[in-house]
Amino acid sequence: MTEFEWPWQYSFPPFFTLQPNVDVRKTQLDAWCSLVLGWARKNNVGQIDVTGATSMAVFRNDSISRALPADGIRVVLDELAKRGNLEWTDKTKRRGYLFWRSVREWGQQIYQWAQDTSRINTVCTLFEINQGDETAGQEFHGLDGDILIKALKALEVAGKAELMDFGDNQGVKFL
Amino acid sequence: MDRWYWCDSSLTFGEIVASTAKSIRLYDGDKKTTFEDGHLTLTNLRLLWRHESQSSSLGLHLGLVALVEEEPGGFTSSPKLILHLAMPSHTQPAGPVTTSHNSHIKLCFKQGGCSSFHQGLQKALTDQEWEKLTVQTTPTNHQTNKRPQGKTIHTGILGIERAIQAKQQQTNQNISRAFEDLKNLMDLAKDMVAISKSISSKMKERSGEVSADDATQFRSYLLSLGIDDPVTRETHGSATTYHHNLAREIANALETPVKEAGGVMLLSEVYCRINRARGLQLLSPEDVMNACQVMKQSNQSIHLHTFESGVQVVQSVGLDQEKVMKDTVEALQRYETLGMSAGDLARECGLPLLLAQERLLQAETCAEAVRDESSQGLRFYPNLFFTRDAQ
Repeated sequence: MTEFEWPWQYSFPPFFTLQPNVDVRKTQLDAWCSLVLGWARKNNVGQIDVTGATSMAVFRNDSISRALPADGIRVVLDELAKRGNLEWTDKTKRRGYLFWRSVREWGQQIYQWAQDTSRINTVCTLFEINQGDETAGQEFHGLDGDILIKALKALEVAGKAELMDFGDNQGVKFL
Repeated sequence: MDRWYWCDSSLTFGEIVASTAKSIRLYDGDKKTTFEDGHLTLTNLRLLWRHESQSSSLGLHLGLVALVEEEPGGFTSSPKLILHLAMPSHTQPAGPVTTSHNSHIKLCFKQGGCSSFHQGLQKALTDQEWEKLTVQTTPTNHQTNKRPQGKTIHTGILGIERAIQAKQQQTNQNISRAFEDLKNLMDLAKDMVAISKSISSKMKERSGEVSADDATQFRSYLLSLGIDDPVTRETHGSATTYHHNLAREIANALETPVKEAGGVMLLSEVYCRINRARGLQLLSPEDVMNACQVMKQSNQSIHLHTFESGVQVVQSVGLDQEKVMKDTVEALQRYETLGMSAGDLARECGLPLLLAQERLLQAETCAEAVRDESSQGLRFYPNLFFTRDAQ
C-alpha cells in the first residue's frame, strides 16, 4: 500500500490554527475535510473517537511541531457531520462513523451497479455486494458491512431497495 | 517636700502662666501627701499648686528643679512627673513641711495632661527666666502687702478678670510667635497671587491663545508656586477652544515627523514628542488625547485613529491604506518559510512593536495573512489558502 500523500496544507503551519477570518476559515475547513476523508479512506479508518483524536496522525504533523487543538478538531468533525461524512454514534458526540464517501453516495453507486448488471427486481445477498466476485472491480467492494447496510437503508428510504432478512444472511431487493 | 512654700495665688512681676493642670496630687518622695486634687499652674518662674477651697498656693521655685522625669501610668496608677530638686535657698519663705528626707517630689496627674505639662516644664526650665529677672520674686511674694507698680488688684472678681485677661494675652502672643515664620511666606505669596491674577485676566481677554513666550513664563511661575493653571482648569469636555488650538499646534509641529515615520505614529509617541518640543509647557496625557480627538473636526493634517484592539495612533490624512497593506504582504512573503512575528515586522520596517502588530492583524482581517498560533508564539504567513490551489 502506497504511503498516503499528504496535501501541501499539511506542511503549512497556519493550517493547524483555526483561522479567525471567516472566509479564510471556510477554505481551511474544506481542506481539512478532504484531508481527513482521504486519509481515512487510505488507511481504512471507519470510526473516530473524539478523545483519542488528538493523537491521530491526520490531526498532527510532528515534523513542523504542529497539531490541531481539540476545539479545532471538534469544528472539523462537526463540519464533516454536516456534510454527511460523519455519523455520531450517540448524542454525546464522542464517537462517530467516518464515511469518506457519504452513505447516500454509496447507495447511489450500488444502485447504479445494480442497474448496470440488470439486477433490478432481483434479490442479492449482502455478501454478494461487498464480497462477491462480481463486484470485484467496484469501489464498494470490501466495504464495511455496517456501512453497506446504512447505504442500503438510505436506498430504502429513497424507495429504491428493500432490505430482507434470511435468517443468518441478509439480502436486498432492488426495486 | 520642704521646697514648697506658702504664697498667694497671684503672679509676680514678669511672671507668665505657661500651662495648667487639674486634679494634681503632690507626693513627698514616693509618699502621698494630703495635698491632693489641686490645680497646678506652671509659670515661667515657678510651679503653683492650689486647692479650690484655699486662696493661698504652694509655690515651688523652678530654679530648684534639677531634673524632670516622667513616670507613665499603669492600670492602677496615674501618670506622674518626678521632679528632682536642689537644696532650697535660705531665703525661701515658710512652707508646709520644714524638713524632708527626700529631695524629689512627684506630681500625680489623675486626669491626665502629664506629657503636655512635662513639655511645658522642660521649656520653662531651659528658658530659665528667673535668671533674667532682676526682681527677686521669691521673697517679695511672701509679703502679701507689697504690690508691683500700679495699684492692681489680685484678689476677688477683679483679680479673676485680670487673670483671664492675662491668659488671653498670653495665648495671643503664643499664636503670633508660632506664625511668625509664615508671615514672610504670606507676604511673598500675596505678591505672586496679585501677579497671577493680572496675567490670567489678560490671558482671558486674549481668548485663551496658547502662545509660546508669555504662557511659558507664566506657567513656569505657576509651576514653581504650585498654583493651578487657570486656562486648563476652565475647560470642560473635549470640544473647547483650548483643545482646538492645541490640536492645531500638535498638527503643525508633528506633521512632518508623522510623515517621516510612515504616516502613522503611536499616540504615546505623539505625547512624548510634543512635550519635548514645548519644553516648559508640559501637557497632560489627557489633554493630548482630547486635542487629538478634535483634530478631525478641525480638519488638521493628521488625525486620530483607534484600532479594534484599542491602540490609538495618529495618522496622516493622506495615508494610503492599500500601500501599507501591500508593504505588509511583501514583508510577509519574505518570511514565508518560518512565518513572521510582530517583532520581525517591527525590525524589518522600523516600526514600533505595537504598530507592527496592528498591521499584521489588519492584514489578517483583509485575508492577506493567516495566523499560526503555537507554543512559540503568534506568527503570520501570507494567505496561501487563497493564493495556492487547494487540494
